[in-house]
Amino acid sequence: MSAFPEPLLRCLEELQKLPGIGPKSAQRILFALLDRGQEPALALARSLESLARSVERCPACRAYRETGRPCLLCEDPRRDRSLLCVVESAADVLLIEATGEYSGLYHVLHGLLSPMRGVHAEHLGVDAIEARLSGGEIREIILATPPTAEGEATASFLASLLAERGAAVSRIAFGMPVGADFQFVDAQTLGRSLSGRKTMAG
Amino acid sequence: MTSLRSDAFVLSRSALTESSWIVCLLTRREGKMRAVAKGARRTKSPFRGALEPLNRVRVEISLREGRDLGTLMSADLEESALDLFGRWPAAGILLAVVEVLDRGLAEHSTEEETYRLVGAVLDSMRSGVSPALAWLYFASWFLRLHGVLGRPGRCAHCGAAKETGHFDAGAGGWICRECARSRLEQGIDVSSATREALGDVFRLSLPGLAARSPGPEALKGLKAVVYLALVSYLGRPLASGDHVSG
Ligand SMILES: [Zn+2]
Ligand SMILES: [Zn+2]
Repeated sequence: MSAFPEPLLRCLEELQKLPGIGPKSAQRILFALLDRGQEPALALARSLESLARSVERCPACRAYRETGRPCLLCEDPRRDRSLLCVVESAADVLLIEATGEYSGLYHVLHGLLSPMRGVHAEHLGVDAIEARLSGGEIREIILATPPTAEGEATASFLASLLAERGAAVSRIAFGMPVGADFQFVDAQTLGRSLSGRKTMAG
Repeated sequence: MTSLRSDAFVLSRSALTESSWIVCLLTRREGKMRAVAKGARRTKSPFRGALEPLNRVRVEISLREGRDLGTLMSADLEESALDLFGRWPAAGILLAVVEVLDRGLAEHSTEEETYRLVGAVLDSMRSGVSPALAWLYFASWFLRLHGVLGRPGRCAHCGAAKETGHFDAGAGGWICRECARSRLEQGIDVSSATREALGDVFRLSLPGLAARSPGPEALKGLKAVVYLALVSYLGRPLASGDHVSG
């Protein structure tokens, strides 16, 4: 016999299916919700339901949009339609938006090439990139996957696939974090900072 | 509690908790081992960047009696493979190499030769040997070191000293025409050019093999044989098979 009622256990189980949430975090979230009383928990339940029912992947960029409504990223007339930035996840779109340095279009891969984890080329939505390219507006594709083996493999795979399709393909630079001390930067990062250096106007 | 210091290649890592990884390593001294890398997923972890697949690292692992899973105390990067993953098709080949090692090695069995094979293959790829050839060299030697693919010789099925132009993993490897027929052609016929190329793989170093540049037909045949033998050894198709299947 468990010390907890069935609905509580079921909720714990559902929460633990989410990435990064173990039994302890699931319990913390659940008890915080219960402690706040009925209304906040119902409000969350309602917003989860409306999320599941009314949000979908945009077929063009594969980020999320309100079902059947124009995509806020793809349809925004202020965005530069000659640039396409390829990222691993929708969360990365938010991070890049927060930099204020980019105003082009996006393509969300929803994963990195990792056959052992079941992520193959066909999961990356390459057809959506190709459809964009055949529109003829894209001038540059920026590969913004992380500097990990899977991130590099994905970028090199896409670069080989998209070469000679009329758009320049570039990789984001990797290097020293702002404010870093040389003494505390690892050799790989320092090496990449050197190989990715750029000319300074004098 | 004992501790092991060894050179190692990182094979894979999987999340254990929000902040830790379980890392699978091919160590020079103890073969394949798994260890917990505490805090490795944090941005400021000293492991950061070292634990990428096929990086060569110098590790210290602390081991508790009777437990398979060690604790990674330190991992110093000796040579990074990140640049190779940044080139295609090299990256596709490396994904397959990692999978073969991760799935095909038993834990804690000495694999010094496999360790040296991985080093030789990575070095050659760095110095420009074609990834496709590097794959064939790696896969052939891996299979040979694990008793699956030898030099064609006597028929593995009937023992006769006849020409063995058929490869059938279920029958023990290279078999003669008659045995192939009696086994309802379960394996594949292999041309003499391909068998010769396999002989070269086992006789030459990888740069030596590249210099000899075996013909495309022979290599195509060899690709099919090693893939068939790997599938039989691993008991299922390679998930990373897209770029290496015959
Ligand atoms: Zn969109
Ligand atoms: Zn025979």
